[in-house]
Amino acid sequence: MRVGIALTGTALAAAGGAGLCLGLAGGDLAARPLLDPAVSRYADGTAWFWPVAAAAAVAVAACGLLWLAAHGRAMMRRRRAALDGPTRMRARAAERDLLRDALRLPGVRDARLRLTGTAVRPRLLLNLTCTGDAVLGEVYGELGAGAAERYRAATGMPDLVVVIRFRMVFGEPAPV
Amino acid sequence: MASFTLRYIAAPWVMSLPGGGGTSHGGVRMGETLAAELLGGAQARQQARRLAEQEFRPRRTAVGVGAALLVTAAGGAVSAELLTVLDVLPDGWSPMARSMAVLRGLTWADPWTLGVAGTMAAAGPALLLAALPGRARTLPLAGEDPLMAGAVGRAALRRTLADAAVGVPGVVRARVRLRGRFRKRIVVRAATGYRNRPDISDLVRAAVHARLAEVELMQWRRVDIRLNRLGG
Repeated sequence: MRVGIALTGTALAAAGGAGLCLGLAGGDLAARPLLDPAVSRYADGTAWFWPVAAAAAVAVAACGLLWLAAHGRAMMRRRRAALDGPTRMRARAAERDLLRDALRLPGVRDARLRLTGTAVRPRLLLNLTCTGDAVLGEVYGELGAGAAERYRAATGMPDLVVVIRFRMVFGEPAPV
Repeated sequence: MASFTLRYIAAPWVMSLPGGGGTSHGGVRMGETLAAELLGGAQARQQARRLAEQEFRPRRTAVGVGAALLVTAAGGAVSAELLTVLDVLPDGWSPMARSMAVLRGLTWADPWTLGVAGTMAAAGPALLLAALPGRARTLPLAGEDPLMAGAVGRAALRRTLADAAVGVPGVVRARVRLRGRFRKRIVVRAATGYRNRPDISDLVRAAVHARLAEVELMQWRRVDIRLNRLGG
């Protein structure tokens, strides 16, 4: 995705820079039209010019569409896992145990989870809300050593990636 | 080959281990196991770090979708124009004649052309900057599970460290900033009413370090304490 952004940025910068250079250069070059008559004459006299230009434009449009589709797919996979029915059922059953285990850890106030990703690369997103004085390192270590491993075993996904985001709630108004 | 390497690496430690005679077969075995565990642990930590970097770095989804839309729209419009020229598409698809007239009428020095070129020249570097990795909004936690990544928000970390600093007797208020892209550090500005306690900044530093040890961030950060003595 970043490569696409960088390529688009490079193309825009190059085209914009070239346009500015031509426009600000002054003289005869700046006074010429964007579609030079010489280009038109060359295009009319060359049989392959328009088909090649059209093919290039269609290729760019197709790349853009594929890129959009990839974004859409990635966004969808971040919201909902592409897993089969039995795995989904096992995950639902294991979800309760994982949440219960997480809420038993000291300092954990709330836990929410979402299974995302694909069957090849599943991903469990766990959002934990902890108290301001919670020992996050301990909570994280305990989850990794116990609850997450049990969840992997219960769902039959030994390569499940577990991503934990900690939020913290503070009782009193901020002393900062 | 791998076994030889492990044995070679393990040899100095084996000598220092109780019962690790160096020449005895059992000692070398123990050293091998220890070295393998240490190397395996380092590898797991590295994998965990990579996973955390991958998971928590900004995705730039909005910029990516915007750029993809731009590419699709520009490519689609030009395609429609050119396919109309080639009679692949009917004339109604694109106002080809009008577009060509505009392109023939505008010069490179025209304000409209310069405006569009300037916008493109500004948007290009902006997109290039957006493609850089950028600063994560969350800070990854240390871990050894290569399939697990955890992170805490910057604001939450700042707040909990400020709470730790305020917990030091004599500190009235504290403000924490996370600074540095390359030399990462935590800057704590603490205010105290005490004027006869020269060790207070050490106490604040110790409290912040203790809290950091509980949070267990993946990357070590230096802690800078800046003390402001209140009351004149």
